[in-house]
Amino acid sequence: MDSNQLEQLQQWLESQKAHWQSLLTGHESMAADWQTVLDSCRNLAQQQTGDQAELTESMAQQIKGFSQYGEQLLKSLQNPDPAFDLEQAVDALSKHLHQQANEPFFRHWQLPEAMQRPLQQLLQQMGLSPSDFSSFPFLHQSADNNQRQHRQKLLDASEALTELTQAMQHYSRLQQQINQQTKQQLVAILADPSNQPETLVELHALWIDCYEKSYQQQLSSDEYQQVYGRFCNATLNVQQQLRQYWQQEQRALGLVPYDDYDKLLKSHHQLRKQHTQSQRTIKQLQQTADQQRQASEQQLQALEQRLQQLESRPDLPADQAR
Amino acid sequence: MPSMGTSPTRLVQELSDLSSELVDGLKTLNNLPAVEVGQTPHQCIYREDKLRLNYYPAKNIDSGGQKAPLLIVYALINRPYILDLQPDRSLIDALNQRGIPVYLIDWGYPDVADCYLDLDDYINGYIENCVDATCSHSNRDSLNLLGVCQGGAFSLCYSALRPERVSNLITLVTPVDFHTPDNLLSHLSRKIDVELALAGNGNLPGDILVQAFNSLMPMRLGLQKQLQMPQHLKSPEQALNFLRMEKWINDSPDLAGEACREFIDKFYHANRFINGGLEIGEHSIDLTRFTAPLLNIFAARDHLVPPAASKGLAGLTGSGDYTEQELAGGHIGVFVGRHAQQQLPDLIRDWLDTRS
Repeated sequence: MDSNQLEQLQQWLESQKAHWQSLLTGHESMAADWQTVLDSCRNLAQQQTGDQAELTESMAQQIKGFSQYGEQLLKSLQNPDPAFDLEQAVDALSKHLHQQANEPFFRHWQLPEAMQRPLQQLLQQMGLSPSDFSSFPFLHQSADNNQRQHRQKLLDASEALTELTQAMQHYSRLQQQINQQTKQQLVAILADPSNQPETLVELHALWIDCYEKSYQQQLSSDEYQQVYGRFCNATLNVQQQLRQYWQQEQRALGLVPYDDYDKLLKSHHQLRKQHTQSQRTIKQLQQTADQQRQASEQQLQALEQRLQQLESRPDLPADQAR
Repeated sequence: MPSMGTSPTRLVQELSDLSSELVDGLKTLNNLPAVEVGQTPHQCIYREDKLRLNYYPAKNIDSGGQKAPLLIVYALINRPYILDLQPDRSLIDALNQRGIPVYLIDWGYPDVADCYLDLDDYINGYIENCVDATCSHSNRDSLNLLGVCQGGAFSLCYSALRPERVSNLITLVTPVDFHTPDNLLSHLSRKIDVELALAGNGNLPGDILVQAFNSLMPMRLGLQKQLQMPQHLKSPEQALNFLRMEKWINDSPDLAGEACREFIDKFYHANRFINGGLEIGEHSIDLTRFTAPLLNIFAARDHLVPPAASKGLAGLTGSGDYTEQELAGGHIGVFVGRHAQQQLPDLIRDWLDTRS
């Protein structure tokens, strides 16, 4: 970031602080635009490694979400609503944190963009944007193609997507259970006045503790492990379908598809193994040969010594000693 | 809203402070030099394919002369520079300071050309060749072997196959019994279709591994870490410490497909150390064949290799001089935690000294 960008960041901070102060006085001034912070992260990314850049942006996104939730909390502290009970309050916190957690999780899986309608609807129900997902071209490109192999590919893809949708729904249900347990635990803790967190960070940490406890319980269950596996496998299968499609296209274009390359790699490895084994055998034979040569040399030396001893014996006639 | 012991004024102060810390953190990052790891002086003495064998000479050689070489076999997962993360958090440097010459196997980054490397290639090939190179470089017939995590499992196999080459064996946070009830990673891994995971380019992508490890504590390792990050960016030194660890966490090489498949089948699925019938290449592994001293170190709060998973070794080894040592900390903290810089190297030095 250059000095100009640093100055903008500083101005953003002052403006944001003024906004929060204004909420205390009841004369609300305009909030600063978080985009300035996110732009700074992107500028910073140019001098960072990919992982660092991702981490820096995640930090900014988390603090943005945290601050926005904090602002809601601030408003409610100033204007308490008696109808808004503790359970609803924890529910709002959970929703916020779950949203913060879900987006990077689903981004990681790099699911296809233009997935079929049920999956898109599901994603929307979960508050996620399908536009975050990368492309999945064969669903469109082959739609009008009546060749049998393409129809089969479409059927396979459809099955894979259906399985992924179902797996994701099941996984999502378990996530909701974890969220529900987390809320119940947090409500129970906060119901005790002696447990009242004094800061928003403490409240956040309490939620994390409750979440991890609930999550560990689920993680230990066979059902969760099965569903986790099913979801991972369904995702991997969709990715595999995509690769298989491209292999077909590569072959049609006269390019070498991965499967063919893989066969070469396997043959290469087998040859390499044979070569290594031959080298080991040669090494062993050399060692055996060396040992035998040493033993022979020792025997020869012993015989020569014996011969010299015999030659030097005075009691034997010269021709007999020889 | 939640029942809070805070006031609006205090909350505004908290939000303002957090934003200030965020801006300060971004400024710290803006002026930060590149993150460097593995700074202890070393030289590469052997290379084969993508593997490098690095030599870290002893720094304080006592009157008793050069100590026996210690060959460290790290896991294929993540990178071995965690053992030399930074000058004041370096197990390797700490061992060098205690007069121990260290040799470290760096497996490199397998790519698609390595997807058919199997456990036989790693154990009977690479490790055997590194033992040869280490012995030749140090003018010894045998050495001391230290295996870390999966590298410990490899070291157990190797020392059972070639007991004459290993004078003393140390296993550090090493899984032996893969089916203990508290081994959640093992439970999860058994549900994943390995063939599908390897189908991409024949190897298991490193980012799947990172995600799997993070999935054991998703909120703590995700939301909480990100929110607390400005605390770690208060000074360039703190920021570099934090980013070194982050670099290591995310620096996850792909796993060679065949070796990965074999490791999951033989260890995670069939639990072959415990159930028997383990074969590496054409060789059967019988852990009773290794009878020399063995030190088994594990971490009390290890959520990746729970202590029970390491303790399984006691009933399997043929060592007549078997020692177990539990240390405080988790899987990584046991050798990068601040207090670990003294305790672990002292333990290794003292144990080896009484057996040399």
